[in-house]
Amino acid sequence: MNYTLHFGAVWASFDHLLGGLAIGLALAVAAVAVGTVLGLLSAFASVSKSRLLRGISGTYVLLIRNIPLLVLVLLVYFALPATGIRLDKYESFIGSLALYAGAYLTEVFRAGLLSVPKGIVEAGRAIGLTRMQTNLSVVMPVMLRNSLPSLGNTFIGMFKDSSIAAAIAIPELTFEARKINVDTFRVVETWTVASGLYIAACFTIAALLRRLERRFPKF
Amino acid sequence: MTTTDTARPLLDIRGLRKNFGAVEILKGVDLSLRPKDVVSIIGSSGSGKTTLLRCVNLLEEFQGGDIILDGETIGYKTVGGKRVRLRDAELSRQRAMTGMVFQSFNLFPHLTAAGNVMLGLRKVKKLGKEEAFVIAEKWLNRVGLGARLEHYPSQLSGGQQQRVAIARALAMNPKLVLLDEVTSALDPELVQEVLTTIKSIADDGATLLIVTHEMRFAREVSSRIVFMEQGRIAEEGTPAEIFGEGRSQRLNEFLKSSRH
Repeated sequence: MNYTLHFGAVWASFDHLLGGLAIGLALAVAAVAVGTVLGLLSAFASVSKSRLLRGISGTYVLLIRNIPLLVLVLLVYFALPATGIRLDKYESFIGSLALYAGAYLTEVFRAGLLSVPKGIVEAGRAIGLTRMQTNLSVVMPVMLRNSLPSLGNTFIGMFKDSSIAAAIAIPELTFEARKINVDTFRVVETWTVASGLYIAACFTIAALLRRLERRFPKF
Repeated sequence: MTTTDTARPLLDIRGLRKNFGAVEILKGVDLSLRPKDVVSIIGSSGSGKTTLLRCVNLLEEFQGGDIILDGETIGYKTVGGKRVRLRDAELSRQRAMTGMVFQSFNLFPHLTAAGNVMLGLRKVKKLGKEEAFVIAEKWLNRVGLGARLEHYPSQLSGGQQQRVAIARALAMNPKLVLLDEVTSALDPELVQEVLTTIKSIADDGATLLIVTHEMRFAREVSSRIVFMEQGRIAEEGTPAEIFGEGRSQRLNEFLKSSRH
């Protein structure tokens, strides 16, 4: 029996898919924002002189990177309430993805930090900047610029990982697609359109990041 | 001529000792500079010249001796008979009293020439943006780069970058400027523009402590020359004394070998 493609059923619910895409983007943006802060703190800790801080950063990265994201999301969503912390599913997912992003960004920022020439740090100290001022005004901008390409990869990865939110019934793109699939049995059409939307969104993010890379002064 | 009490040294290094692990780099260095002195330190690599400068700018810790800058003992204090390194805020304040120019320029790559000079003025001296810019413009003009204010380091030649670094150090109005082999990383044809800049700053009355391999320059610009060998000051004198007759065998050999 031949399978004839009928996209009509998918187009009828296209607004749901777009709505899901928007939710996915929002989740990713929120998680990346929190994750960037986590990653920065953890990266600075990982290169600090304090053995305790290095230990905390190392343990964090070790734990989070060795748990599959889906498991982490389920763990946070179902186990956290048992400890008395009540989060709705959005907060819970953003928290999980932020933790996850933070661990990967630790490595990205750590590599960036190690790429900052020691000489410019000394030059900052030599004009009388404190350690904190040197980190903020010299190390951070140079490190961020050097990290930009791998930062882009991580951001795109985080956006794609927002599809995991479907597992806890957040109505993002994958969840909506699955619903359409179940309602219409248009398997190929549904997942083709969903994939197309993911590709279009990732492509746009990548293009925006490339523009950002160009706008920053080259070193 | 008698020296009066008012001629207090601007920089007074007493018995400075520094080691990296078991290796002794500085084995008790005494050196003092009065205001407007221009002192060049010469000596073969590994003699401790650069380390000495870095100790004065507190970029290195040192294990013994005192460095007194304009009457203030810097880097360490004594608490209950124990020698303790000062806190970061104190070290930063003391570092701002000296300017340092590095062999490899070390300009901030994300900031323009003006931005490089302005950073310390803004963050350390807490000046407003306009005020800091006026000072940056003045100093960049002074080193002949008035037309390059908005250029990034990557758009400048080595000689230009080093002149920005000199402007960056001087704009902070330091009591003492440390110059660490500032022409060693430059192409030969760019050396002169940097040396000329330093000469003119010396002529303006800045106090300079210079580590250099440029013997002719040292002779021309210095009020005093210090010859270091194996972590100690082996000889010290006016350029005429150091480069004239009657110097030691060792210094003689060094000067011969450094004449490429």
